[in-house]
Amino acid sequence: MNSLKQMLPEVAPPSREALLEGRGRLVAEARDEAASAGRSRLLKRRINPWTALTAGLVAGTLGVGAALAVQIGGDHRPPERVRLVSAAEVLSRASAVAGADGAARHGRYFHYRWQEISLPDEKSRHVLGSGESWVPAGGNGRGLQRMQPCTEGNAPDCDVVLNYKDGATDREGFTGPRSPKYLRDLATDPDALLARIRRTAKGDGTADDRAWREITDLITESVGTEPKLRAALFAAAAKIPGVVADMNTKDAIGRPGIAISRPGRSPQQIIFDRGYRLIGDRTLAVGKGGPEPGTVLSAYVLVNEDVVDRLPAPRPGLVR
Amino acid sequence: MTLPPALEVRDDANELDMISHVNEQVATDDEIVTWSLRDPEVFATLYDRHAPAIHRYIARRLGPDLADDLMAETFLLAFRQRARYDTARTDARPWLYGIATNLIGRHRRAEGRFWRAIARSGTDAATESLAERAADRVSAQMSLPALTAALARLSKSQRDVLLLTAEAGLSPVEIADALGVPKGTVHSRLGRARRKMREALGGIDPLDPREDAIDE
Repeated sequence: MNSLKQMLPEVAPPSREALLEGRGRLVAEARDEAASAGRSRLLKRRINPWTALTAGLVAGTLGVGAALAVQIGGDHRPPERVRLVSAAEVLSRASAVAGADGAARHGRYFHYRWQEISLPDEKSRHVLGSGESWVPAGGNGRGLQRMQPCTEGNAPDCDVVLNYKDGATDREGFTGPRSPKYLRDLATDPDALLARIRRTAKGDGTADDRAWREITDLITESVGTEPKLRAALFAAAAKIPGVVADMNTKDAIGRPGIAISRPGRSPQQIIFDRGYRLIGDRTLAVGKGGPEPGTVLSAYVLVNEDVVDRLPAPRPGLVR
Repeated sequence: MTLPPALEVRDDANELDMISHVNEQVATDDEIVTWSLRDPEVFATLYDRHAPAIHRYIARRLGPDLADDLMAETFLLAFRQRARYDTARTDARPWLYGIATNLIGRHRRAEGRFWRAIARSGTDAATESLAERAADRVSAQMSLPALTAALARLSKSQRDVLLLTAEAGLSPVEIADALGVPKGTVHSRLGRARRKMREALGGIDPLDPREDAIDE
């Protein structure tokens, strides 16, 4: 770093809103141009038979048919191994976006709506469950899960009151196997986080397979926890080899997004919106003998999330 | 111009789309610009890649309020001018910084006011935390007001090359590309800017990397 840059104070990064607004203006203009180019192509196509016939006759006569065909037809095959962005870039941006969120004040609640969706084949889509969650900021205090159907007692609808301590709840099945306190202790440095996960993650596959599975689980489970933790998890995920980005996917409820996965290696895939905010995850087919590898089998969708001041009262008669 | 193969970006992307490529190579900036001639929306990839850095550069010179708008404006102008992009340049940053610098030039008075305001008040509205960091490290040598007053006294063209070097990290060749001036002109402007800053800062060279030692 040069001395001038060192002497001047750090400049605050652009806000997520400013970045999204700038991107939105650019994309709107790009779409306008694409639409007008489409109209122009359509117009050309209407007159094209005559143009093509004339061109073909001339080309045949002059013996330059091949060159003309290339010029007219073009090469529309997608590039085999070149991508617009790397998964590491996407995850780094996601980490920056997550890290820029302020930590929620004590006494407030992370609130999010979710859906679990099964996709047994290309045409079918079944919502297995949906609900709303309120998690106390800081991971201590009362929280609430409102879910349809209810996993407690097979009711169609219920409210489950949860008491959180260090991010873990007192009800089995309502929190991940790792407490946010454990995660927060890990989250100061992405390299240290990844190194520790590589050492401790259990299960099948290589160390990278296990680390990816663990980190994607942690990312999903960290919904509603502190921004620094999520930022560190995204940054750690960016360091795992074989991770690729698909910039043009749609999630299970049709929202455009960016999918990050390890094709052919791991079934877990995480999805961001175009502003690099996590909007869910998916499970893909990877093995032989089942659905085509890459087929989406199920999805967990974060419909929206925010921070609220109040925990709603459990609904009488629906408390489990 | 020969267009590269068609884009991987698809209009008909659906839930079951899956790309199974491994050992990916990431498109260079020139490829993105070229591909965007066929599929304009691809240009947003360049925005995702460079918008934060362009914002930082503009915010440094004009403050955060104008930076939001001019960041967007920089990419809109770049998008409109992309057919003229020199595809021999794999890195689009000099081009984008050049556009941003031209836009900053339209706000020359605002920039002057910005630097003078910091010089007067000792506070920088663009920054996350005022100069504690800088003050800790360089208090023995100088103050932020003296620094910004010295920057305010530079000519616009001298400030351009100094901040494109110090803030954007561009080389003289890249700055020449960015500003559309000969490399020799960049060297002479930079030399004059450094000399003026050294005089104002009690001998500290604003581009001296040895000052890093303060940071350690």
